[in-house]
Amino acid sequence: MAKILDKQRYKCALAAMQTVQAIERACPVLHSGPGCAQKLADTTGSSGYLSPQIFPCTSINEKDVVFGGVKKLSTTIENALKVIDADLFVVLTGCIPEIVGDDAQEVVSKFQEQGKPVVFAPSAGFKGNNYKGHEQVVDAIVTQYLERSDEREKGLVNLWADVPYQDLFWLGNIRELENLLREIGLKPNTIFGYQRGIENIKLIPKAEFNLLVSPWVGLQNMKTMEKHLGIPYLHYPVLPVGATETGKFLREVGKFAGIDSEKVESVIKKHEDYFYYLISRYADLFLENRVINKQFSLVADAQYALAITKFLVNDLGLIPAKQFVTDDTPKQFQEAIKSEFQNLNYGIKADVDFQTDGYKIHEEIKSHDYHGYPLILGGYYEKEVTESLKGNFLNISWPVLDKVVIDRFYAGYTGGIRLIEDIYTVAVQRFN
Amino acid sequence: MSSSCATGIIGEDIDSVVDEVKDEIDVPVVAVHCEGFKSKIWATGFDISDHAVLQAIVQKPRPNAPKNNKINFKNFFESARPEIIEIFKNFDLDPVFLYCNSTVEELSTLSENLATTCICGTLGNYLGNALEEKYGVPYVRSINQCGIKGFEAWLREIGRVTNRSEKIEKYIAEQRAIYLPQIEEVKKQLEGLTAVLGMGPGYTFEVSRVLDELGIKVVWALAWHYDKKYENGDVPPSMKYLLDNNIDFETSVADQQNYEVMNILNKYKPDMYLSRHPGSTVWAIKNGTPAVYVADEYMIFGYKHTLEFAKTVLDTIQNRSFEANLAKRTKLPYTKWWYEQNVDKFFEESK
Repeated sequence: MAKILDKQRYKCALAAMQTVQAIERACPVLHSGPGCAQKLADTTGSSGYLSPQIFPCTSINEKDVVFGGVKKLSTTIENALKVIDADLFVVLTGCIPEIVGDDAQEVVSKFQEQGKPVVFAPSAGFKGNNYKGHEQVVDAIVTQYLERSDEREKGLVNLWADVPYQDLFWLGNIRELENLLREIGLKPNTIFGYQRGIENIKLIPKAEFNLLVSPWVGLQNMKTMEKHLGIPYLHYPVLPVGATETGKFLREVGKFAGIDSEKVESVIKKHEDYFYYLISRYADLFLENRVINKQFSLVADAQYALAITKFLVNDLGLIPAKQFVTDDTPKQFQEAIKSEFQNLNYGIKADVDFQTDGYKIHEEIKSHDYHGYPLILGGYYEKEVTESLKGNFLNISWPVLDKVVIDRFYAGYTGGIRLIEDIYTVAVQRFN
Repeated sequence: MSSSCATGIIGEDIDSVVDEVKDEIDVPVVAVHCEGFKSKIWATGFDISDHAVLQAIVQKPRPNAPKNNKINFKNFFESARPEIIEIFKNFDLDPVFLYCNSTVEELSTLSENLATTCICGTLGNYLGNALEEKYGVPYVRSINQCGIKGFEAWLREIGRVTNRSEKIEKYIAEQRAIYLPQIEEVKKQLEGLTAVLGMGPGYTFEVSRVLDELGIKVVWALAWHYDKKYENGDVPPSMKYLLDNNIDFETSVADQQNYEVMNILNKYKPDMYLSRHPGSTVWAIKNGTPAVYVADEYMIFGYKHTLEFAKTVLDTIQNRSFEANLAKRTKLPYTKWWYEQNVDKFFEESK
């Protein structure tokens, strides 16, 4: 029996066009059928410098399927270079050229030989989802655009976290993580979002280390950079949300970077003081409302399922029901992620299910005893099932259809407070 | 069961699979060949879905089928559903909306209904023509319901094919008395404005007509594609109307790539850009051109919505703050070189 993908929570690898889009003045060039970009462009916040509807595309038709589309790809790149004012062009291939065997690499090489800023990332939809596609794009940039540097800049650290656009809070999160690193004395270097971009990409080889804040997405890139650029990495698998996890995060990063622990502790103290000032003022709301119970479930990619579970258990004192990881996590990472779910305060262990069948997830939610109203944080698909259980629902993972996030974030101390605001906004909106 | 690019290329025989399981499953199962590379125009998908419905769901009229007052009405998102049900009560007609909320049962008896009409010829003409050809259900061919001319021509054609002309004329007279004076009033402020529009092959020429009715001059109309002849061999009614009434403007077909639209907007600097497709209006406003997003197919429907549309256009061009603010601070992604080129720069002669 084939593996069932029901209530899809990610897109195909070609959606990595959004990773390119998140890099200022970088332009995706699609070698794909007509409509791929349109179908993959469902996310809000994408009408910036370039938008999916205007990415150059070869728009492959039946003739190209039969005779091959390399000539069309070549003229599309050539004319994109004339028409579009960008600093980096990332050629992405969809299903068709990869099946019919178009040699896109060969076409791109010709432009590279002329010194044009063009790289190639194979991203056929049938090869994997957009989490893998994201890694392909970063790998393509690292291996085709960057060279090893003998120079190292003191304190410079390349920071990698969420997958742009797929993750609702990508922009806010990465900025907040940057702020935290800066406070303990590091110089974070990121390539996504406002006022980051090509210059930051060029800075990558000079970093002392790479910091990956993600359970598994991006690990391939860390290894590529270690090999290709000689940069070591720290893999921190938990996106820190709230005081407990952010404290742990800063201590571990500080230790790895050789930062004086007193400095790290003083940053932690400053933030914790304010965090607990707020928590203490609102603690009565958490205790004395009648609709939020102790048990919760997450339905999200590994990043958010793990991050928010840690926060709700270790900061807010809730109890995890089953947690659902929906990003099709490759098998080799599942054990490590599972053990993080079991490493919670008071020896609490969260049962985790790596599951892409939405029907099964909903059946499990329906059959679990949440000791009252369930709290479900998930994709929009969970709204209806949560409502049928009279539970509280918060849309935190793709697909997101009932909220607009511009630059809010859940990372760090402030992010924890924002998440509490969101959860209790849901709670107070109902009869209490 | 629909095919994708990948299954299409590797040659999966989905027809055989469908044949094998058909009898085991108690709902209609049909193979739909809709590989993305199959057509250069997305509207082919409309025809393909109609074909699937006709093949697998629509049945022959039953010999003993009870007489009904139903009219098939193909549309997109049905925002005006309650309103149209009310309007059609005046004519003793009962619309069956397709396909958003359709049931298999409703679809299976489409062949027994009085007539077929649609909100957009591109969307509905395959189904309309097929029901007419196969089962003799008349297909209402007219300019569409946008604007006064279109709405009236459409109603009259429905009146003709369903023998309800008297009721239709009564309704038209009542509505005219309410709305025409109000529309004339707004028109005074719209006269002389210029517009560029980019839409599908149907709406491009339907909306061009409405803009002409409202006194707005179309300087360039871009159509995604254009069927020179419909399935029955005629020139599409929207184009025929423009030709017969000598409404003249620059037009181009299938070039609706954003860089081309931007080239045209930059050259013509119209008072407004009208479009129906996601992700397009934002580029006009970044250029400083006010934009009206005509996404809802009922935005210019009939008297009431033509009036609302006219007022929306007026509101849009009266306050240009949003686009002016954004345009002033926006760096557009196209090179200076491109803006100096003619829009057909990259066209090649077909071989």
